[in-house]
Amino acid sequence: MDDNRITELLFSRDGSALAALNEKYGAYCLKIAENVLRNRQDAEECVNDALLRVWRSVPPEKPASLMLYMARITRNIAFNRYNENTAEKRGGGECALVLDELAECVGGGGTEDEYFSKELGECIRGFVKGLPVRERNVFVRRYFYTEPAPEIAEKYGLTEENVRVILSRTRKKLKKLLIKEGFYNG
Amino acid sequence: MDEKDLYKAIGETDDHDLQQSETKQKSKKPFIFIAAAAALAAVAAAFALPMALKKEAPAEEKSKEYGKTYIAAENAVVFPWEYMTEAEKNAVVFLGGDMYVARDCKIDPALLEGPLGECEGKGYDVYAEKEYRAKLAASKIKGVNEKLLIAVKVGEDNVVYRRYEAESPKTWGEFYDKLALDKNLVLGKYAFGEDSYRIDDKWYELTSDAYIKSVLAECKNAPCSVKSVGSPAGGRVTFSVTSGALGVYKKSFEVYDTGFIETNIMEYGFIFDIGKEAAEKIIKYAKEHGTETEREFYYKSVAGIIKEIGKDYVLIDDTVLCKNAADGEVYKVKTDDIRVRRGLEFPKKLSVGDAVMVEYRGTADKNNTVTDPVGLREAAIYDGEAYVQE
Repeated sequence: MDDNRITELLFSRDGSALAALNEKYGAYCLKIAENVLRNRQDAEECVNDALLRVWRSVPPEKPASLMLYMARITRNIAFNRYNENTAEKRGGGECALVLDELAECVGGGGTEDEYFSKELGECIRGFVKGLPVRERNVFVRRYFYTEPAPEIAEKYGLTEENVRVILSRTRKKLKKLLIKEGFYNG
Repeated sequence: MDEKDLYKAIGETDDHDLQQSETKQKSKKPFIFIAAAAALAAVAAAFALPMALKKEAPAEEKSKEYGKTYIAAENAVVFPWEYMTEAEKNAVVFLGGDMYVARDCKIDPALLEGPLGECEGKGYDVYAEKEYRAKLAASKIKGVNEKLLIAVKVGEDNVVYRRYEAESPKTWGEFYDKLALDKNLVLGKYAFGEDSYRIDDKWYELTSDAYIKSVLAECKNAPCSVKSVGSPAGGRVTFSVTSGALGVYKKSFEVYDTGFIETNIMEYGFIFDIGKEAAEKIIKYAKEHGTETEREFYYKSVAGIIKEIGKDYVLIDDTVLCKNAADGEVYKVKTDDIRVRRGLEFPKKLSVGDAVMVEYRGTADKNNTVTDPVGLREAAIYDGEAYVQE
């Protein structure tokens, strides 16, 4: 079903919108959640939660892309679940590796306030946008979609080593930017 | 800040960049046809590589050192009903039980063949939570099959509508004939790419595309059938296609040296197997007969600080984006088009001193008057670079 039609159904509060959303993007979101959680049952629950959240937020929101809107929501829910699991010593998997890699770019310390998060989000958005296409794609697949390097390599016709080198260079660039912008003292 | 903050912040990555990362590069197997809407965007993205940041200083101003400008591909703003264009209000129309969706292009009445009868336009006013329906006049487009495209009079203009969920063509010939591509396919500027992933910086144009179209006319039996997830492998030439009759603006038409053509002029990415011989003829011709030209951008843009807001215009000073302040200039943008005016008034009323970016399809003439603007959005300027967020 077309996204416009699904949005129409959501706006008219027609429950079949959720079935259509699940049919169209459920598998896509399940993959995102599984990348983060490495646990099928947890991932399925995340997708169900994401569907519910879409139902609650549309309307009033009207996403330009339902697929990406669901992707963001699923990622957020999955990451929150990951944090809960980590607290219960059930973390690990690809997300743990991704976080280890990202730790190279930051100095540690507590979570900052909402304003800081917004500023950081804008900084990252600009950073990603400014990357050359290949680097950008690889960065996005690894750090947004939490995909393993071999999967990214296959997707873009690169070797796994290429992917690791690209990611390493991009993290260095990111670290420099975060220092320059005052998010991290270096 | 720790790595979890950073991971969360990466969640703010722009929709366009997420979408673009969905584009697979397949180097081994040729693929034929992309059906899913998500994959469609991948096709567009392949062509959009050089346009990804679709930003450019006005053509006449290339000599000055200009800060980069970035704009989110998706605009999440939902405008109130009074700020919507007629085509946006009638986002879909129904004719004879078929649903058609508006394309963002007006069509010259001279391209219409005759009336198709009354259709029903449908839209939704999000703020009032009211459905909107209107009786509208539909027309046939000259030579174009009405089961694919129609023209609908909305307000003062005729706008092209594309049939939603139209059947996929079985052959290139069916696609070619139903869209009257002998007349409606005009191959614009083009660039080469060594693979399906990147495209060169150099752009070319032909004085005539007649030879290429004659080769294409000989390939009508080329099949279009297999569903897939990516573009064909191989080096390619990518043409920009704009057509009033088809209601398309700067779509792509690509010819791969592996023997495939791919186009998104009907939104979905259709791939046809025309064979290596025909593809090589086209690529060879394009290599030998093109003259180098300016790079193609989707829209041009001008960004800067609002200097003055008049009754039907706004003046924008771009000095803030120039490395050398003396290069700064003032551009005049007419605001009689609702797509421009609404940007000044919604979601907040902008005033002198605010930063904005205007996208336009036309030119900036010698008096720095921007023609054919398509939108104005509030911008943020950091370190001499302009950003428009989603």
